[in-house]
Order: sequence, then C-alpha cells, then structure tokens
Amino acid sequence: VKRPPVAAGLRLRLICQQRVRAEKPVTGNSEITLSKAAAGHVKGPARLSGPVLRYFRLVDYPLIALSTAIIVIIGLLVLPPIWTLIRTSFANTMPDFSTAGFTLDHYINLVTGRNLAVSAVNSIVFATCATALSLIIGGILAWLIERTDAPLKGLAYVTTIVSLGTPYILYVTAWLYLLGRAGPFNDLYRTWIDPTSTPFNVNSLTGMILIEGFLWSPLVFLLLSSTFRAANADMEEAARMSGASILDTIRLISMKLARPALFALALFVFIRNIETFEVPALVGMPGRVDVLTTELYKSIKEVPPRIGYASAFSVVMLIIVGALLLLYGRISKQAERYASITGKGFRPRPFALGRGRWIAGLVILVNFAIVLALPISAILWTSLMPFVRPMRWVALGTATIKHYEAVVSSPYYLGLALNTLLVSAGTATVVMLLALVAGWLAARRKPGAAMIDQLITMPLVFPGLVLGIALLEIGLRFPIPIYGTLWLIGLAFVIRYMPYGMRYAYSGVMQIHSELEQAASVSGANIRESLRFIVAPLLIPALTSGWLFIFLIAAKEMSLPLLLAGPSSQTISVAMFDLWANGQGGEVAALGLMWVTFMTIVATIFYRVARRLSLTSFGH
Amino acid sequence: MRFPQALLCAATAAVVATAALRPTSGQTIDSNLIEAAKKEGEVVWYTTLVVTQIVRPLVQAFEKKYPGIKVSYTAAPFQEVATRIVNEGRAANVKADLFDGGATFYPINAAGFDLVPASDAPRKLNDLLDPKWRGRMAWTDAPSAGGPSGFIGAIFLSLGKDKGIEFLTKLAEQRIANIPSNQRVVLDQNIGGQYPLVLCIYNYHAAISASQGAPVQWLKVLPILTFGTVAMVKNGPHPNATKLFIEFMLSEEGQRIHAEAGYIPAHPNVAAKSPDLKPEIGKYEYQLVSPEMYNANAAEWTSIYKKLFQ
Repeated sequence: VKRPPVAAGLRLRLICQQRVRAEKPVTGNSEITLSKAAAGHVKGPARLSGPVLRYFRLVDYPLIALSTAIIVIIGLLVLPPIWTLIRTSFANTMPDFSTAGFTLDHYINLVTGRNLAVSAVNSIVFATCATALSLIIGGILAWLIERTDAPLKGLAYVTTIVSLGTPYILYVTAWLYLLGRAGPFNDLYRTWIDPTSTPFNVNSLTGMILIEGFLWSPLVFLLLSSTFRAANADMEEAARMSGASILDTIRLISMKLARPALFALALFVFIRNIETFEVPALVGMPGRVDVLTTELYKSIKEVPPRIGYASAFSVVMLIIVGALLLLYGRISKQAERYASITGKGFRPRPFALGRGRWIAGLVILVNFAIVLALPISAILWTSLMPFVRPMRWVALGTATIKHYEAVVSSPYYLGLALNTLLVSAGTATVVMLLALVAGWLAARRKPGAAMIDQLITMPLVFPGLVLGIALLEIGLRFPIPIYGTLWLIGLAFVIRYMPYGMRYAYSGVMQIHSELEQAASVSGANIRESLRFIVAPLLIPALTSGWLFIFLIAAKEMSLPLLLAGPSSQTISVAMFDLWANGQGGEVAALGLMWVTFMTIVATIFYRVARRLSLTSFGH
Repeated sequence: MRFPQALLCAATAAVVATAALRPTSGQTIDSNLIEAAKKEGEVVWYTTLVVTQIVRPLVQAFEKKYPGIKVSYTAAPFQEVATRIVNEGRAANVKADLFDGGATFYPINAAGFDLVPASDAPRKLNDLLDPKWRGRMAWTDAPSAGGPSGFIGAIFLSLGKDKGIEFLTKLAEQRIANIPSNQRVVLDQNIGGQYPLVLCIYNYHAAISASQGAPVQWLKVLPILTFGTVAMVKNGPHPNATKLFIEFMLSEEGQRIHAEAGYIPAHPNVAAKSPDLKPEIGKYEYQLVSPEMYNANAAEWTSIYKKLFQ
C-alpha cells in the first residue's frame, strides 16, 4: 500500500481539515469558493464577483511581497561588492590603493597577457576534467549510498565529512608531498624499478586535475546524495521488474531522473573550477602550467595588489556565468518532468545489488583510500616528524609528539576554535534559510525567479581578495562598528556561500512535484504554511547537506579571515595559515588533525539529528 | 617573513618610524612616554611574524614589563596587512598602531639536501649553472627584496649590468620553480626533498631546522644582506604605547627574545643563537641590498624577474 510522505501528507490533511472547519458552508457559486481556496490568501466568505477575483488570482500579492523581500535582501548583500568590482575594473589603481579615473587597461591586459590561447586551453581542459572527476567520484558514491544496499555506507560519510573538514592548505600540501619528487610513490618507484627517474610529476595539468577533482567530490556527493535520497524508487523498481539490468536501470532511470540536478551541479562545479586559482597556483605554477587564473593569482599577490586586473577578470566571469545561468534556466523549465516526489506517496527502497554489493563496497573503500586515507596519512606523518621529511622507515625513529603538545599547551587555540564555530554555524544557518526561500521561488519560476537566481549566484565569481577588499571598505564605513569583528567575517561568509546554499535548495525543490504545494494551496494554505509544512520538511535532506557543506567549508576558509579578522575575531584558519607559512608544518598538521576530528564530531552529531528529522518526513 | 620594501612607498598611511639597526637601551626611555603609554593602555599590532615563535613571547614579556598596556595582534601575510592598513588610512578610520617585517636582518642563501652529496653542493655563483641542477631548483615567487627581485639586484650590484644579464639569462635556462609562497615554505620543500637546491631563503630558518636534525645546510653562495623593519602607522590610535613597544622590541631585552626564537638579532650586543649566522662572526662576504637600494630599483629588478623567470 502506498502512502504519501508521512509528515507532508499529515500536515496537508491537517491543513485541509482546519480550513474546511474554518470555511462557512458553501453558498452561491461553488466555483468561486473553489478558486478562492485556490488563491489561498482570500479569507472569509466570497464577496467578489468572478472577473475581479480572477485578477487577484493572477496577481499574487503575498508571493510578490516575498519575492521582493528576497530580492532586496540578496541585492543588499551582493550589489555593493559587485558595484565595487565593476568600478575597480574600470578605474586606475593609485599607489595608495585608491581608484580614480577611467581606463580600459585592465580589460586590455586580460587579452594581451602572455600565451592567452595556451592558458585558455589549459583552463578548459583543467576545469572540464576536474569537474568530470568530481562528478564521477561523488555521483557513483552518492548513488551507492542512497539507492542501494551497498556495504560500508558509514565510511563514505566519514570520507566526505573528514575531507571537507580538512583545511585546504593541509590537503593540497599533503597531495603535493605524496606525488612529489620525494613522496612515497616516486620513492617506491625509485627503490624498486628505476633509481634515476621520477615518474610522477605533481606540478602538471594531471596533478592539478586530480587534486581539484578530489577537493570538490565531497560537494558533489553531498548534493547528489540529497537528490537520490529524496527520489522516488518506483521507476527504478519497475525497470528492474521488467528485466532491465542494473547498469541499464542506472543509465536509463536513475541518471535521467537526476539529470536536472546533475546538470546544475556540473555547471556549478565547472564555473568554480574555471575561476579557482588556489590549486593552479600551488600545484601548477611551480611546473609552469599556466591557466587563465594564474595571472589573477599573481596580480593579487603583488604589493599593491593589481585589484583592477582581478576585478576585470571577475566581471568577465560574471557575464559568462550569467549567460550560462540563462541557458540553464531555459533547460530547467521542463524540469517538472523529472520531479519524482509527488502527492502519490512513495517509499524509496534500497536497490538490491546482489553480487554487485561487494564491488560497491570495494568502490567505497577505494574512494576512502584515495580521497581520505592517503592525504590524511601524509598529514599524520608530518605531524609526527620533527621537520618535513620523506616517508621512510628510518625516519620513524625520530617520531615525536611535540607538535601535539605544543597545540594542547596553547589555550589560545580554544578561543579561536570558538570564534570559528560561531561564525561558520551562523553562516550556514543564515545561508540555508535564505536559500530555502530563494531556491523555492527560483525553482518554481515564481515572480522574479530569474533575477533571484542570477543575484544569488553572482558571488561565486568573486576572488576572495576582491570580496575581502570590498567588505573592508564597507566595514570601515558601516554606521555600526562591525569592522574587525566576527560580524564582518560572517557577512562576508554569507555572501560567499550563498551560491552554494542555493544549489542545494534549488535542486532539492526541483525534485518535489509542485502538485503537493498546489494541493496545499487548494486546501487554503498560505505561502508561509506551504513553505513551513510542505516544502521545508521535504527539503530537509537538501538543507542538511547544504548546511553541513557550508559549515565545514566556512570553518576552513582562509582568504577572508586573513583580511577581515581583528585581534578579537581571529579564527582557527588564520592560525593555521600563520603556522604553515612560517615553517611550522608539524604543528599545523597536528592542529589540523585535532581540528578535523573535532569538526567531524560536530558534523556527525548534526547529521544524526537531521537524519532523524528527515525520518519523520520520508519514513526512511 | 620579510616585509617587502615596495610597501613602504606604496603605503601613504604609514611612515617608517625606526631604523632597525639603531641600538637603544632601556635606561634612556623617558618616564613621560611610559606614563602616556599607560594612559593609552593598548597597542594594536598587525604582524607578519610567527605568532607562536616570536609574537607571543614578545607580547608576554612586554605586558609583564609594562603592566596595564595590552598588546593586541592580528597575524596575516604582508599583502593582506598592507591592504588593511591602506584601506583604514583612506577611510580615515585607522585601527592599527604598528606593523612589521621583523627587527632583524637576514643574509639570504641557498640550502642543500640529503640526497645531494656535500661535495656536489654549489660553492660559487657559476655552479648554479651546472646542468645537474636543471629543473631541481626553486625559490619564492614573492616580489620582495628577499625574493628573486632582490637576488637579481644583488647579481647586478656584484657582477655589473652586462655580466649580470648574461648570468641571469643562463640561470633562467635552469628553469627554477617559482613557489607561490614565502621563503620558509620553499625551504620546507627543500627539506622534504621536493627540490634539492633552493635559492633566496633565510639562513636562520635553515639553522633552526638543522638544529632539529633536518638534513639541510645553508650555502654561502652570494649571501645577500637586507633588513627587516618595524613601522608605526600614521594617525594610529595609540602612538605612545606604540613607541614604547618599538623601543622594547629593539632593546637588548627584546632582541634577546628574537635571538632565543632563532632569528638574527639586529642589536650589536646580542649574538644570534648560532653565532656564525651573523657575517662578522661567520666570516663571510655579503652583498648589501638595503631598503633604499631596493626601493630605487624594485620595478626594474622585478620586471627582469618576470621577463626571464616566469
């Protein structure tokens, strides 16, 4: 027997009953009563005639008010930095870092840079391959965990959460070390095969793609796992019963159903990869692999930073992203076809893999080994060595716990940890609340949908330093003294991570067929009620994944706190950068590992609670 | 980390208050200054130095010596520090009192590695052109006196323009890896085995690591001498407390804290932890690249770096 998603169905029934009780007995034209209920916001007995009422149905005031409010909020957050960005991109930068006059130089420099063709090709190859790698790793994993009876599911979550919680510099440095000249791979090759060669060169396009692909696979995993968890299994089951093989079912049913989500995700990760400059700089630059953002990195590391150049680059990216989003909007108009959470009610059952279970387990294990165990073991090694050194048995004799002692004996880190927790949990909560409303409005093509989606996605293209400088200026001129406080960092984080939250909420809403909300609306629910009792509970998997992602990634964000933190608002990532940049590799590794452990515990508790909430909505 | 001198001309909000080499002693500090400093009660320090190694020991010693004056600090790389200070200056809302590049001076050298026999280590400049180093050398990408720009300047100053360019062109063919980080990180990559030979590092970093057992040796191939700086921010909120703190940093007491942390003290009466790090005791020749020399030529040197080495 099929039943509707528990909570949503119950609430719906409840709302219906309440409304029915509230309604006076139907008098006069029953059609008007029906449309009145459908309008959802006209209360009391009908006094209006047909055509006027139809007008009110077309102009949905509460909805417009909500859209306007969201546009104003997001606009206030996004437009001031955007304005700074555009202004800076057209102005001369003075020696005192101020901007004056009008110039097109920054744009001309963009095209006249050395070897534009080579960098552009490298950029596209890098972004495409890294995106594909993230999608393959994250996608396969998400499907296995959420839709099948694969073993070792917990391990996949641990892999994701721990690798997301691992500070960026530690993760990248670990890979540089592992694949580097003196790393274990090259070392083993030299010991056993050819003592004179160095087969792995990490400072190459391949090295960049691997590291970037690993870095973003947890994002894909979290986003898709919420998509798969909420997807209706009916069609998969039907396919299997009709004799389709597992692979055919995945290809023809599971992947097709996830297509809007997959496409949005691919686009998002691709944009992220095109505009990223950390991995290209740290991994590619020493090997002279130039991508479009290499020059961007150099421009912001100079003193004074060439902010004009960086801004011009971002403005161009902004336009490209805008165009891609328009394209995406056009495609997702037919997204209704893919929505599989309908009022019919469903109960996703795990897909029996049969003998494939063990292959699935192996895949999860390999993913764990590559994405997590390898880099973490390199970090652990570093944390135990008195100084950075190759992994060799003889070095084990020098192992020491002095770095851990140094961390534990510094009460100073406790304050930083508290600051970090406050600001990242606050950011994640605010962003996901905003994203819930914005994602719903955008995915349902409500008034202002395109504008909301464009606005909220814009911060994706800001290089950290450009956003940071805009916020420095805003903070210094803000009437309330937020400069140098956690509030300013929080504000910067909210702007920076809104696009990510939006992706989680958006793809979540896409899956819920709008008939549930229509039913609520027909039963007289207003927007608040239908968001609160229908959309939000069904979105819990997506909101949870989004919260977790933003919480973990904000906690390790470095570029903004380095610029915005004051003496009393230092975060743990500032301390880590300081240690790392000053040769305290061992101590930063020790601090990083302890921090990751702590973050994993926090994230796991949160995840458990959220899973329980999701249980009441989906009954599984 | 050193503070690049380029900043000093760029930062209009800041003026250099003290020359690092001027020895001061505790006795000369005016009691009026101490009184005024205590009234202000705080110094806000934007630092590029290592918090655990040097910032906190200095702060603790200062707060102990002058109770009632709190030192608040914010640690960030020099680019971020510069950006902040300049933005605060332009908004006429100055929060910082003090910024630094360390009150010490550093000869800059190349370091060796355990896979390379000691006999193979380069001894003179031309050894760097040996084909065996091709693709195996690295230096920082930071455009500063302590980075490639300063190195190029030192080559010009010691070899002259023509011979200098000739040498640099050959050196560029060695494909030195540009590491997008600072000298300390470059040295760590050397110790970790990624690059057997690195240029433009600080010799005291190598000495600190060697004292912990790291297989590293600093080489006296064209040592460059340059200075760290401490500077007071113009219109900072606590000028007297800042002056007192700078006096403390440069005093024998403050310099001893530097030495203890492994840095090279600027004070002539204070020896470095490994005394031979200082040229007068280590008995080595060096090429001076002073902040003035660097400021006058930085643009040219940096453009040669970009043209030949990037």
